Order: sequence, then structure tokens, then C-alpha cells
Amino acid sequence: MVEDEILLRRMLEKLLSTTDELQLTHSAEGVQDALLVIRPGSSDVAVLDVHLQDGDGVSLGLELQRRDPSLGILLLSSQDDMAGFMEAQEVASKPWSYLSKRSSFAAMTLLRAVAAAANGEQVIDPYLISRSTPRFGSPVARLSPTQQRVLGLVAEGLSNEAISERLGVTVSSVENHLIAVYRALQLPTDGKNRRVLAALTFLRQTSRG
Amino acid sequence: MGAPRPRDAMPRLVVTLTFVNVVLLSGYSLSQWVAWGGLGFVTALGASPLEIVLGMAYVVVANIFCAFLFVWLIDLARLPERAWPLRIVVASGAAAIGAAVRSILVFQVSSPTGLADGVAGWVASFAGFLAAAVTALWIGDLLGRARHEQQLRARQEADAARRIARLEFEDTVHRRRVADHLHGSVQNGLVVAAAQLDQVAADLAAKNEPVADEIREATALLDHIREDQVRALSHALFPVGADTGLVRAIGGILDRLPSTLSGELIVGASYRDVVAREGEVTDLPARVIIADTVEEAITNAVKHGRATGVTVSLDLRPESATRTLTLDVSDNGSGLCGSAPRFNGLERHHARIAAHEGTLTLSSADRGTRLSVTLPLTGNSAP
Repeated sequence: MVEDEILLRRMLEKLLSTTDELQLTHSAEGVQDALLVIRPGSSDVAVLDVHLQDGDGVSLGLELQRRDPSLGILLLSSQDDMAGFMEAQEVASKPWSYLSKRSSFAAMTLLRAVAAAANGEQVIDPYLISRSTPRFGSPVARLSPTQQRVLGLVAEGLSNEAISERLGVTVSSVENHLIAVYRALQLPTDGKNRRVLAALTFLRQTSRG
Repeated sequence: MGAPRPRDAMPRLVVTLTFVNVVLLSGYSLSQWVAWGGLGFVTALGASPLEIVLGMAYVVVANIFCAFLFVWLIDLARLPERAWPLRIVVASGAAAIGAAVRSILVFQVSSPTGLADGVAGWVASFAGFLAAAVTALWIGDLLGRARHEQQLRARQEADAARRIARLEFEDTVHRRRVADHLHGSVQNGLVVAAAQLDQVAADLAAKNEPVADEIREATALLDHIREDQVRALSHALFPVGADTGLVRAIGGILDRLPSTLSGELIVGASYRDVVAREGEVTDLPARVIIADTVEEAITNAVKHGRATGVTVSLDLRPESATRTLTLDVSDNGSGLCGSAPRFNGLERHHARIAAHEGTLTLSSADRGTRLSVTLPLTGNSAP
């Protein structure tokens, strides 16, 4: 975990230590520190602040993933710098996840995002997803409200089962909605990255402004 | 023997002008001789055409030789570098010598009728040589002064541009520092405070304490202050992402557009290639200038053009020695009103870009308005 604000670092260390399922291997305060202590294979996930005193969390994440392509990345930001996050997805070896710092203090949200990042899944902050409005005239704006809701939950990193529970519909109904969404957004209807592509399309075609 | 002294262009110009003046003067006196009947006189004395031509050629060569002699003397004395009194004295001396040699040579083919005639010829030559030198020195002085003033003005302009760039850089660094503080200490402090209040509210709610709702309201207020006010202030001071790259800074602006407006960023192949090869090509002040300009262009497109879509195109023109950044912001709004485009809030950006020897123009697009910027890139990425 890399965070330069000591108060936040202490709180995140405490939150990441609340479960036995994960272990905090390194706690670094900046880019240089992180590059020294995080060695390939030493960690499954790097939790990185976007803005660090001595550099940039997005560039740090790309460098850490270049050294260790299996490393999952979870970005934390108080600025909602989605541009850097989306730019990184074009070259990242494994999908990244993103939480605003405000959401990262909800233990369940943080722990779920870390686990998802380790498994190569993508989780986008539920708070940011809830604030997202489709852009006027975009393909996402032309989806039905239910399809938009399903797409938003995919961006949050929920499985089809979890989405069906959240919406109170069957899993096959969720799958049908998703196939319609992929078609409408002209995304491939199979392949392991289609959920990631759908999430990024959702972010690009919605506004949080 | 020492090395030859370097000469700049101005004394050479004076020497050349003097020579040309003397030759013109000689040509003039020869024409005058013909016009006043000299040619008819020698013809009447029985000279053949060949003798007349040879005689005139001799006079021309003699005049040119004297001109060379005269300019050699004034060049030897480095007259253009001397003060006027010394110039007059030395030029007079050189003119006296040049006129004497000329008289001796010319009198070989055209003997004076008497001493007075000979003295008059020498005086005329002396005056001609002196006038030629003085005129050339005077013109040289005028041109030299003009060139000096031009160089002084260019130095002053370069100095002013350097000072402006320095001030702008310091301003950018200061803005970045304040924005970092707002982003770091202030926003993070508000995040932590809101999280702690959340925890207190949850504990109180578990005990059915009604004050839990009031604490949640206070938390919401803190979130509002952080998200809508502190963040907006931070963005206004320093564009998010500008510290890392221009594409990211513009991408951040487009990402924050309201949902009623669609935005697209097209990055040209040249820009992508150079960035992939060499890293970020713009320095920090250039990134801030461009990001601020894009933000203002979009504000204008919405406010004055009622646009619903903007396209930002970014590329490099690498063909010249200095790379030039090109930026186009096109919108689908109502377009420009009238022939003279109104810059509205862009006037300040126009001046900033002009100070960096760039250009900012507004024109009508197929539909809406197009803002075009060129900005020479002076170096690789600065901090």
C-alpha cells in the first residue's frame, strides 16, 4: 500500500488488517519507497494513492505492473482523476480497480476491491457509479434504464449472480440484459475482457461532473 | 605578426560606399567633359577615334586606381571607427593624396593650360574625394545607429520574454503547490473527518440515538464542501493531471464535462509517436496554458454557442527545427456571429500564447466554432 498522508496510511493499514484473508506486505509513503520495497512476486495487489508527494500513482502502477504483470492495481484518489485511470487501462497488463478515498474507508468496499484486483477483476467505486449520468446522445444514454443499471453494477465489479440478487431478477435475465448491452455498445459478446470493456465504456460515456 | 583584425559589416559598407561614390564622381566629371565640348575640341585637334577611346579608357582606369588608393587609405586608418574630427582630418589627407595622384595621371593625357587650371583640377578632385568619404561615413553612421537600435530592441524583447516566462513558471509552480495542498492536506483531512463522523453516526444509530441523523447531515455537508468547493478551487488553480501529461490533463477536463455535453479527444499520430519515443513533450507551463485554453474554449462553446458536443484534437508538427504543438477545439454550437470573432474570455489566453510565440485563432467550422492554437515547444518536459 502506497499513501503519502500519514493519517490516511494509518487508517488504511488498520482497515487492511481487519481480515485474515489478506496480509499487508508493505506500507510505503512514496514512489521511490515503493519501487524499493515492492519486488516482483512479493505482493498480489498494490493499493496506490493517485497523487503522491514524489510522483504519480498511475505511472507507479504501470511501472510495478511492468515489473510484475500479474500484480493487481487498486487506485485510490480524492480528486476523482478518472482520465489517468482510463489512460492506464489501454496499456495495463491486468485490469485496474478504482476507489475514491471516501469510499475506501468503508471496510467492506475496500476489502472487496482488493480481492477483485487480485483476481484480475475490475471494481469501480460504487459511489462514483451512482453519481454517473449518461452523456447526451451517447450509446449508453440510449440503453433502457434497466440495462443502464445492469451495466453500472458490472462496472462496480459485481458478478451476474450478485447483480441478479441486487435487482431481484434471475441470472438468465441479467445475462440477456448484458448481451443486449454488449450489442448496443458494439462490444464483443464473449471473451474475458468484455466486462472490463463494458465498464470502461460506461465511464467514458457518463458524466460525474 | 598579429592576426588580422576582425571587421564587421558596417566599416566594409562605408569603404564600399566611398569607392562607389568616387567612381560615380569620376564618371560624372568625364561626362561633363564630353558635354562641355571637350570631345569636340580634341576631335578638332585631329585626334583619331581610337586615340580618343584609348585616352578616355586611360582616364577611367586612372580614376578607378585613385578611388582604390583613396579607400585603401581610409580603410587603413579605420575611419568608420573614429570620431568625426579625426575622420575629417584623415579623410582630408587621404583626399589630398588621392587628388594629387589623380591630377598627375590625368594631366598625362590632358595637360592643364596653366597653374590655375591645374590647381582647380586638384581642388575639384580633393572636394569630390572628401565629399564621397563624408557622405559614406554619414550613411554608415545612420545605418549603424539603426542596426544598433534594432539589436537593442531585440535584446530588450528577448529579456522581457525571459522575465515573463520566468514569472509564468513561478506562478505555475505556486499554483501547483497551493492546489497540491488543497488536494492533499485539506481534501484528505475532510475525507478522514467524514469517515470518522460516519463511524460515530453508525455507533450512535446502533444505540438508537436521534443525534446520529444530525451527524450524518454534517458528514454530507463535509462531503459537499470537499467535492464541490475544495475540488473546484483546486481544479481552477491547477488542472488535474497537468503535472503528469497534456493528454491526461485534457482527458480530465473532458471527463468532468456535464452529461449534457459530449467530449472527444483525438490525439494525432505524430504526438503519440513522439510521446511513446521520448516521453512527455510539453513542459509544465505549456501544459497549464493549453489545459486552461481548452477549459475556456469549452466554457465559451456552451455559454455563447449553446454547443452539445466538443472535439479536441491534439498533434505535433515535427517537420521544423522547433516542434510546434497544434490544438483544435471544435464545437457543434451556433458558430461565430459577424465577421470579427469575439474572443470573450479567451483574450487572456490569446496574450499568454502570443508571449510564447504561438497563435490563437477563432474561425467558423462546418457547424459551430473552431479554436485553433499553435504553440512552439521550446524544450523537453520540465517538472
